[in-house]
Amino acid sequence: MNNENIPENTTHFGFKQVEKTDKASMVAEVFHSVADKYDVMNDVMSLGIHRLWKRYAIDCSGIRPGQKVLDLAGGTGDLAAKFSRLTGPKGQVIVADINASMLQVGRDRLRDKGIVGNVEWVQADAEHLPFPENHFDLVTIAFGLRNVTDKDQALRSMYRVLKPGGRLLVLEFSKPESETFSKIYDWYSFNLLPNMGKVIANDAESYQYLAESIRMHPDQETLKSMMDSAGFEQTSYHNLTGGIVALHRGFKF
Amino acid sequence: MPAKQLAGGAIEALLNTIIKLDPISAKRLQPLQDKRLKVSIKELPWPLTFAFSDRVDVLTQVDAAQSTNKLEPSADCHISLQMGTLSELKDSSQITRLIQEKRLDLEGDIHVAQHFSTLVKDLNIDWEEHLSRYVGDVAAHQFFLMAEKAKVRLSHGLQHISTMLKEGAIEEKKLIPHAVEIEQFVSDISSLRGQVGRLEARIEHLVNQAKTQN
Repeated sequence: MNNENIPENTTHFGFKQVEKTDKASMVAEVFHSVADKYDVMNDVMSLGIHRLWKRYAIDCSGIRPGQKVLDLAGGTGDLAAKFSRLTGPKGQVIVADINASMLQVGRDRLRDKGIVGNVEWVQADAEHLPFPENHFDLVTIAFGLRNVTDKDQALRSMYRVLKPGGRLLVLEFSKPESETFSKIYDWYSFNLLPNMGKVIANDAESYQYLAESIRMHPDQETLKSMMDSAGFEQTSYHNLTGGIVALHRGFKF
Repeated sequence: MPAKQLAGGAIEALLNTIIKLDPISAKRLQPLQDKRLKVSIKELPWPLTFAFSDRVDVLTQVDAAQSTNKLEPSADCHISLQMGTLSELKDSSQITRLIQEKRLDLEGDIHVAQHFSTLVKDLNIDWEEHLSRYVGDVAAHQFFLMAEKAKVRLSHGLQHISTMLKEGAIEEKKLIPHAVEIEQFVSDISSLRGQVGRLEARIEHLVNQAKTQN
C-alpha cells in the first residue's frame, strides 16, 4: 500500500479515493447488500477454505474457559460460535460490527444453533471501541481490518481494550508469496469473482470492491509494523494458502 | 491448505455426528464440561486437544513452540500413547494397568480421561431409528432384519467352513491329531511322569538302603 500523495482527508475505497468521512457508510452499503448471501459466497469464493483459515486463528487463540473475547467485525458469528463454547458459561464473547445487517444475520444464526448464553452483540466502530481499558483476554478481527478507515487508530483502540497478557489476532487477506500465484490470484479476483458475485448474490460491484480492497490492504510486513507502532509486542504473522491470507498475532504486556 | 486444521475439522465433525446420534451422550458430556483433554498419539505428527462443552471441539497445536510457551494454556489432562493402545482406552478400568505397563503416559486429572473413555465406550446408537428418518420405519426395519439374517447366515457359513477345514486336516489329510488323540497323549505323558517319579523314588530308596547296609 502506498500512502504517498494521498490528501489527508481522503482514503481508499477499493481503488477509488473517497473522503474519509464517506468510507464507513460506503463499506456499510456493501455489507448491507451482501449480508444475506455472505456465508454462501465465502464458501463458493474460497472453496470452503475460509473455514480452515478461521480454525487456524482459533487454534492460535489460546483461549480458556472463563475468559473474555472481543470478536470485531464478527458479523455472521463464525468465530463467536466457537469462542462461545471454548470460553464456557463463565466466559464472555462480544461480537462487535459496525454493520447492523451483519450483526442481525449473525445473531439469528447463533440463536438458531442455541448459542445465546455468553454471547453479546454490539454495534461498534473498531476505531472507537466502547469498552473499558484492559478488559479482554483476546481480540480478534477476521476479514474486517481492510474495511476500517483508519487502521492505525483501530489497532490502538484494540490495544487499549486488551488486558496485559492478552493477544490480538488479525486474520486478513494479504499478499501471495509467489509472483506466478499472485498473477493467477489477480485474474481470479478481477475476472471470476465479480461474476460469481453477480450470479450468486446478484451484486457484482460489492465483489469488485472486495477484490480491490484486498489489493489496497497493507502487506504482511507493513501490517506487522503497524501493530508494533500501536504498542503490540512479540508480533508475528503466518501466511496461509500461499499468502492469500495471513494471520497476524501480537501481545500486550 | 492448513492440513492440521483440515484433519482436526474432520475428526471434530465425525465425533460430534456420532455423539449426536446417541441422545444420552449429552448427559455423559456433563462431567467433562469446560475440560480439555490433550491426546498425543506417537504415530501422529501433532497432538489434538479435545475441548468439551455441549459438544466436542478439536483444537490442533499450531507449532512446536506452542507446547512450551507459557502463554499457551495447558490441558486438564494430557495422555500420550501409541495408536495400538487407543482401543484399550475404551475400558476406563484399564487405564491404571496401561500406565503401570508404561504403555500410557498421563499428566493431570485422570478423571477427564476416564470420563472421555466412558463417553466413547457407552455410545449406544439406534441405527435403525436413525435410518428410519430417511427411508421410513418399514424399510429401515426390513433392512436391519435382512442384515441380522445375513449376519447369522454368515456366522453359520464361517462355522461350517471352519468345521470342514478342521475335519479335512484331521481325518483326511492327517495333518494334525484329533482332540481325543491329544487328550490320550497328554494322559499317557502324565501316567509316564508318575511311573518315572515312582521309579526315581524307588531307586533313591534302594541307594539309601545300600548305604546304610555298608
